[in-house]
Amino acid sequence: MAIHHDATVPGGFGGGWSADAGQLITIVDLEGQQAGDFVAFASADPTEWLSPPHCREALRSIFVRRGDRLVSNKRRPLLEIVADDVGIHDGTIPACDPTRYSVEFGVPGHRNCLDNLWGGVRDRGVAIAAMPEPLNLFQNTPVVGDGRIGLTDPTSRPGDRIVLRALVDLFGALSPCPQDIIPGNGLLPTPMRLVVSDRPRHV
Amino acid sequence: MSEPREFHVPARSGVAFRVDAGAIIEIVDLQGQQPADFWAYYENDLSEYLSAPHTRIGLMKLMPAEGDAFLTNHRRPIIRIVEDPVPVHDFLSASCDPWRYEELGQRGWHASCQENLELAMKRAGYGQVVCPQPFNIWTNFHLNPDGTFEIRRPATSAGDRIVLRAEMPAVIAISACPQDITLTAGLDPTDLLVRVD
Repeated sequence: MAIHHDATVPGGFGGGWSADAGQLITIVDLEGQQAGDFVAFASADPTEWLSPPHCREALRSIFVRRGDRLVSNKRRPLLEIVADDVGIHDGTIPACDPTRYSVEFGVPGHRNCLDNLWGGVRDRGVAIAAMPEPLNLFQNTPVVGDGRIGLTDPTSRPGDRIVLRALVDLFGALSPCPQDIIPGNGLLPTPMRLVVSDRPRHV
Repeated sequence: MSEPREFHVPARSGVAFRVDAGAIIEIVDLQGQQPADFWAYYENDLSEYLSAPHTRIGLMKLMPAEGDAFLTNHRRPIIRIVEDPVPVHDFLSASCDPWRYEELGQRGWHASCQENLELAMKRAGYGQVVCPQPFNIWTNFHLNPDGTFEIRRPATSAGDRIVLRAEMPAVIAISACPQDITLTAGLDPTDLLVRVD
């Protein structure tokens, strides 16, 4: 029962990963209330990536849940959600980025998911042209009625996890979100563990 | 300022053009029930473009309304909705593309909004661009309370229009959606008219 990758990504930082078709990607919120921005690319063609707008169309839903197959910008299933302790994820808002902190919160230089995702992908040694929209695991962006959305803390508890099966060979990155100015991570970024394995692991 | 211009966009095709900051862009659904996929890029840096996720978090809404501005991926206003008499649109779905038609059982080539964008931008001299999720004007996205949705026939009649204003110098692309297999374009793709002033 092989483990191919096992890393703890510190809160507010990023990490890269890769997985072959059939392998399981387990992402654990170690301390709870932590969102993780997640991107995935097809190893054979990095212009094909996990795409939230295409997932919505394929699933005919703005939410994702266990059993769903998540598709690429070329409408091919890349990942399947095989287990999910939380059930609340977001595919509608962007990765936080330098502008978010410098212009909107007056904190230039703040750590951010966009830079973390670039760093994680760079670790894999693959060149990509642009960073796609992330799937924000455990991110709690409720639709509060009349098309308005809210930003609140994740409901995840320590040890909660999501398990994704790679349906093709993939690489990608995870960023346990550094947002500590407004709700999103309980105002305290904390670490996430990412394991790639052949079989489910109770990590 | 540029002269006023008018573009006739034949059914199933696209157009791309530049506008000054402050330009008014009016899109007319000539025969009714015709969606227009809409993209905007900052003229001086095409890697900055109208971004659905950045607009949603900027407005804290799933769909902008009259008076609201769409934001770029650098969180700057690029397009504002000035008048929107038929405010039934889609801002959550990707544009149709060759893979979508393959999925729907199409054999061989079928026009698509993504290809219309790419061709129109190349023809206008902008080369290859990324295809972000567009503002799907008049695509009738009906959201159910449980988060599921369906795409219904557009709510527009002949002559209905939307008026937008550019908030920065921009390159605009518009596709008269060629979808003729689902209800998106009322099963009958038709022409659009675009006026720029």
